[in-house]
Amino acid sequence: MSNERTRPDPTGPAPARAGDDPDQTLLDLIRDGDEQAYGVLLDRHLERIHALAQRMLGNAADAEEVAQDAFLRAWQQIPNWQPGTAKFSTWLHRVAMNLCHDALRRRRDSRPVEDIQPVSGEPGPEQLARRQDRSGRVQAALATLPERQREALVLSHYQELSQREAAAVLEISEEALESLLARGRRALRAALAEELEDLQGKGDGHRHGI
Amino acid sequence: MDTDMEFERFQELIAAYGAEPRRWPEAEREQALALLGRSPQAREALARAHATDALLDSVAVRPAPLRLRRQLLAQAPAARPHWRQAFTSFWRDLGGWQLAGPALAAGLALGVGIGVGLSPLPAANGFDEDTVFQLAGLAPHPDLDENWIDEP
Repeated sequence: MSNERTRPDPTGPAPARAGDDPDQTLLDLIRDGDEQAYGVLLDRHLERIHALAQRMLGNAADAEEVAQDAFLRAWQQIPNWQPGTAKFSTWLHRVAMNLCHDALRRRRDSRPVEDIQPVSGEPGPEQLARRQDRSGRVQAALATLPERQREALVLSHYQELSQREAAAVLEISEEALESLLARGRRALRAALAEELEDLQGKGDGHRHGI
Repeated sequence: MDTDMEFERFQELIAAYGAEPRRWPEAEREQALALLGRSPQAREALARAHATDALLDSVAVRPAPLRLRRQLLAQAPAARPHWRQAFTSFWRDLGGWQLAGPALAAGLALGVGIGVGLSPLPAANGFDEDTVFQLAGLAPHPDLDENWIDEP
C-alpha cells in the first residue's frame, strides 16, 4: 500500500515559539565543544525516542536502529542548528517518525511477517493476536491502525506531546490531529472490545464512542 | 470570560485525548474540569475513557540498551571545537565587541601604524570575524572548511 502523504523534510523549520526550547542551552554547549552535553541530551531524549519507535514498529531491533539513526542525524544537525526555528524535541520526533515510516515500508517490501520479533520477545505477529498477554494484544491492535492514526496516538498518548507539538511533528492542524486521535481510539476500542469489557466490568453495555 | 463547556464538546475531547486532564488541550482544560465537577454524565463518560487509557498504557516497552547510549556517545562529533567556535567562545569571554573590540582595534592600529606607516583603519565595530582573524594572523588553515568535524 503506497503512502500517499508527502514526506516532509525533517530538517526544515516547524512552528515553534522562539526562545522556548528547553534544549537550547544544551545545544549551545554542544556547539561549544562540551562533550558532557551530548550525554545529557541523550539522557533526556533517548528513552523516549526508543519507546516511540517500539510502539510504532512493535519490534525491539528495528526500534534500536531508528533511535540510533535519529541521534546520528542529530549529531550532524546540531552544529547548524538555528535557534527559534523549531524546538529540538519536535525536530527529533519528526526525524524518528520518518525513520519509522521508512522501516515500515522496508518491512512491507521485504520481510516475511513471521520474521518480525515483537517487543515482548514472543515470536510472530499471528501468535500475538492469540496471546493471553494484554500488552501483546494491544500492541497488535495498534499495529493494525492506519499509520497516521498510530502516529497521532503514539505522539499524544505515549510521548505526551502537547497538541501544538504533536501537530507540528505530523505537519497537520490541531483539528486534524484531534480527528486522527478520535478515529484511532475508536478503532482500538472496536479491536479490543473483549479487553474493554474485562476492564469495565461485564455489566456495562454502553459503548458511547469514548 | 470563558463560556461553559458543553457535554458534547467534553465527549469529543475525551474521545480524542482520553481521560487524563494533562493530555487535554490546555485552552480547554479548565472548562472541561469545571464541567466534570458539576456533571455526573461527564464523570460517567470519563470512567469509560479511563478504560481505553488503561489498555493503551498496558503496552510494555523495553528500555534502551546501555550499549546504544555508549555507541551514540562514541559517534558524537569530537569535543575539539572548530577554530571559529573556539574564537567565538574566547571572544565572548572577553566581552565581545563592546569591551575587547576597541582594545584590539587600538592594538592593531598601533602595530600596523608602526609597521607599514599610518593609514586609516575601520572602526572596531566594523570588523567581522574573518577580518579580525586575518589581521591577527589567525586565518584558518586552507584545508579546513566551515563544516569540518573531526572523524571519530
